[in-house]
Amino acid sequence: MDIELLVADIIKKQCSVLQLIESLQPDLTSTKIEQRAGAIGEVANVLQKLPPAHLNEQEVTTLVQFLCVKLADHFSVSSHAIFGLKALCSCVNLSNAAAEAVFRSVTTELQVQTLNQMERMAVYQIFQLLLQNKLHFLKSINHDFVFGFVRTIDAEKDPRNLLIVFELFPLVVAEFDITRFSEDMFEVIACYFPVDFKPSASGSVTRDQLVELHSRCLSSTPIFGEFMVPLLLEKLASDLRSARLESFNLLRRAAPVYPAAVLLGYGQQLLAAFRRAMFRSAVSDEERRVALTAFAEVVARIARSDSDAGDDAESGREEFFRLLLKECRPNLRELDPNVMEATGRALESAVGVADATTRRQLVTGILPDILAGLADRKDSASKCGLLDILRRLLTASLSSYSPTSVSVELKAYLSGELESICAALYGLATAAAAESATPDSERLRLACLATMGRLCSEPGLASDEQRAGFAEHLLAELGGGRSGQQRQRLPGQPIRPIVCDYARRLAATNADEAASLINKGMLPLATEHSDFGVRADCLLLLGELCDLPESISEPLLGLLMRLCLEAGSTAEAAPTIKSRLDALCLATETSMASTNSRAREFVVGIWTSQFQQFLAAFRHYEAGGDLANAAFGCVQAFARALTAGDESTSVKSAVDWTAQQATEADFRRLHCALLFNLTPETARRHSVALLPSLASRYASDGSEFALQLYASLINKCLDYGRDPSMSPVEQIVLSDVNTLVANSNSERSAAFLAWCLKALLLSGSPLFVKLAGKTLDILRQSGEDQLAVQLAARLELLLKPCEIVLCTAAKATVGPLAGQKCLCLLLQPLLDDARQNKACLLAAISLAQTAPPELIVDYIDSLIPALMLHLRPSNSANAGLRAPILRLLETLASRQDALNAMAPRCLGDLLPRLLACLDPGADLDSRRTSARLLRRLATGGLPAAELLPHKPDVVSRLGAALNDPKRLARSDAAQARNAWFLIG
Amino acid sequence: MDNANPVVYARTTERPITPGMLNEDLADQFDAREVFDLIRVINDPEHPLTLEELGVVSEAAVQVDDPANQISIEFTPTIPHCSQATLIGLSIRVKLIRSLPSRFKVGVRIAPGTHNSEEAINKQLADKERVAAALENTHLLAVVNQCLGEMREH
Repeated sequence: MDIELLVADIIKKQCSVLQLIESLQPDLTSTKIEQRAGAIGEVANVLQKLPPAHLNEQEVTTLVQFLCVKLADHFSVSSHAIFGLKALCSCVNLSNAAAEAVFRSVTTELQVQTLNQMERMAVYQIFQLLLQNKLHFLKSINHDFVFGFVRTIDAEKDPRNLLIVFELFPLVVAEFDITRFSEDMFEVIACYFPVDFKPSASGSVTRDQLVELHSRCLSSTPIFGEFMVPLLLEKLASDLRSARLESFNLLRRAAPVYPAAVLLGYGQQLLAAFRRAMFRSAVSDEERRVALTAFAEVVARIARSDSDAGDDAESGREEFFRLLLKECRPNLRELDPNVMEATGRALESAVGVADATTRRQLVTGILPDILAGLADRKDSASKCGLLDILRRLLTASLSSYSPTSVSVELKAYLSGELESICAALYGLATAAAAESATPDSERLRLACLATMGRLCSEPGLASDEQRAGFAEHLLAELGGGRSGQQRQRLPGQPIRPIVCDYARRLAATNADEAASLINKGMLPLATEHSDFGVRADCLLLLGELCDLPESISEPLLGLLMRLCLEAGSTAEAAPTIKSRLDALCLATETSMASTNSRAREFVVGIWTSQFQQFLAAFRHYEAGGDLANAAFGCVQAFARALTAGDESTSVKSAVDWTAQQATEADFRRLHCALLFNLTPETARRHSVALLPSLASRYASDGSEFALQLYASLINKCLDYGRDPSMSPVEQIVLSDVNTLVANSNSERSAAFLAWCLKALLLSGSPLFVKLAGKTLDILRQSGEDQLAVQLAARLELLLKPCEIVLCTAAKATVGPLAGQKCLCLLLQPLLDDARQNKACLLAAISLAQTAPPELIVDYIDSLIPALMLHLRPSNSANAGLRAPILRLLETLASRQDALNAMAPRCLGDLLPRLLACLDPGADLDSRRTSARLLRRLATGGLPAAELLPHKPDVVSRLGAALNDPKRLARSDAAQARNAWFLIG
Repeated sequence: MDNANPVVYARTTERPITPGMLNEDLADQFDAREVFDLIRVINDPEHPLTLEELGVVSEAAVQVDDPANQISIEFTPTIPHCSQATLIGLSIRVKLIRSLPSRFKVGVRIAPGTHNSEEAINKQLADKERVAAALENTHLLAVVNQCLGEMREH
């Protein structure tokens, strides 16, 4: 019976599952296993396809009882029963008693390990469903459930099933009391560590998936700590790199969960394992990195051991950190920078999380060794390494991880040591500065400054004099080096982040000094320093600091304002103006990139309010080479500022002013700048004001750029492929077109209409259809008047690749779909009218000439008769049409497919017309095009049989053209004649 | 092949188009360059090169007297015993018959002292009857057309 039909009947209540079972009775009670299996299989299939809420509680319970009994049957029968039970477990009306029956039958009747993969997966899914739907009830049979679960999942090997097991395991650990079975549970799950799995090419399970889920199991409870840590130590000593990496990763994950006492119990061994991975040269970067992260977690867990242990833990912890210090101290004499860095990081982690006493113990233990090392070591790289350790140590010891952790004693100690630390650092920095600038000496100098910055910005540590001295030193460095030690600046200006960091720290603790550093130190450098590089650097720095509290950063905004106003002034020499413009551009860019919204608003405000003045200034600058670029950079920066700004009257007034008064050059700059930066949303927001004013500007003075800006804005505003209703932007365009065509001269109207059509075509706008209809009306009704002729000529714009930015791409090309639409809506109707109407023919030629060649082939049938009709050289009334018709024919003939399509239709008509065009009475262009076309016909691979009847006439008429007074015509005729001679 | 390794010469650049050439009111006289442009693209019967590239024809060896309707061309075979000299001469002649107005009297000759059978070939090329008879020969016409084919034209 068709299962689908059966299920449909059951859902429609036309029969029930119990009736189905009754009907299957002969099979179910058969002595043949296959029949019994088939019947249970059918029941299971039906159950799996039923909606979860279809069966009522009684039906579910009965079916559960029925299928549970079948679990004891032959394995081919029990297999189907498992799937049936799985389906029942997802039923909404599964009672607690039924759930218990399923659980007990599955765990007692089945030897899960003997089932095949799919059946085992179904069993795990039964557990998954029970845990999901009956968790509360299962907790009441806690021990039985845990025992059954452990027994079921034991020895699973298939990765697909393991994914489910590993997901269920942490859930069982979290929800059930596993104390009685903890070791068993650990054994069942730990046997997979480290995960050894090579995925097959077609398999969907990856090793990373298994490792991730498995480590979640092992770190799911503190109880596993005592079993797992020895296993981890064993694997950490393994020769297998992947085993060590996985062990460190697991340690990182499990350390926060495992009891600190367990970790401390194995402290010495753990430190030995970390030493091997962190403090040895011959270790891969990856292993060192992984070990360092694991170390940070272990040390953090140990440091937090107060809460869960007593005095023993206290002494164990002290011992651990003492041992750590012992491990680190020899590394200060190391040469390998990786080992030094690892030492710094390890100390940073330890000091960062340790309590006040341990912190002091670590800092006082290692600081003298570092200072001694700084004095003794000769090479810059080693000194850098030591400085890095010192910086990390100080940063961590002064960090506010815990308010009480920076003890008074530690601060007093550091304060006492500060003089000697600073002396050492100044000495190093000065010595490094005196050397020629190499990457090592620069790194050393910067590391000294960064460390001093950290110390001097710490409240209550450095004295006022020490801080003032450091600020002076820092500003001298920022200004390009101390007096008399002008240094070659290395690229990247890495001093800036240090100053920025120092200023920020100072601002947080000592606003007055921060304001003084900025106002008296940085502002003069930013405005008055002789080197533009220094000024630019300081500006960027100030831009970065724009988000400091107002009391500190107000002068920065003032500075920006001043720079902006000065940039608008024209009274200075060109280099000064250029540097101001560059600085203005820089300041704008920096502020716009900053996260400080106030700074951004400020810049937008300045730009929009001063816009008029800036444009006047930029026009003035344009005369002088470099200045034009600087001005252009500024306009682009402005465009970004403008587009970042929200709807505001200042933006609108700036835009209006542009539309009314800007010059062509302004338009060009704005065109590029705005179009690259405007988002469609911003464009739409401003289009209501901008489009009509641009249209009226174009109508009044015919500014080509205003028109292109108009078209570009339309294109920017409209999304391709949106719903076909007209948007407000399209309403505006339609109204502008109507106004302009009614009131302007023919040239402007034609250009405006063509540009709008182009933009609308590229945007896929529904307005295109409407405007195409309007265009056709003009061409049909106006006949041969100026507007029709102008419009016909302008239509070529539609399908031409566009150099002007119309889309986000630099060059807008009409795609095949848009091209087809254009030809279908315009070319076909034009061709229909072309017999009577010259303007329509011209417009059709204009379109066909620029249409993608592969599209035009479809129109050859209607195009050729229209062209033949008007290609009559004797008729002087058609003289103006001859050249465009011949050019189009030549374009068509240059494509083999078009030539093959048109030649059979028109060869007899075309040849006499072309030969007549060779007459000296025709213009040179037509004579030449005709000759070239004749040559193309001869060499275009057309069947000789079609051409041969015409050969004598063509050769003879071309012979006359060989005596043409113009050499170019003679040459083309000679080539055509030679080609015809070769036919046949 | 008579000359397996001929000297190859550079091609002349295309004749620039001057404003005068585009002015309909000015008639352009036939000159040596115009005639040279017609024959320099003829293919050599043996090599995949043009007569210009093999140095067989040159602008200097073309004499044009437009008012007198006279054109005289001298060509230089690549080697003195070149067996294709007659065919080359015939090709030049045919190309000019097809490309020039019939008013011109065209003379095609081997440059003096450049071929062993100079006199006999010149006599053949000057004999209108023999040229006409040669072009009646279908096989010979096919060979000439091959030389005049457009394949390797500039």
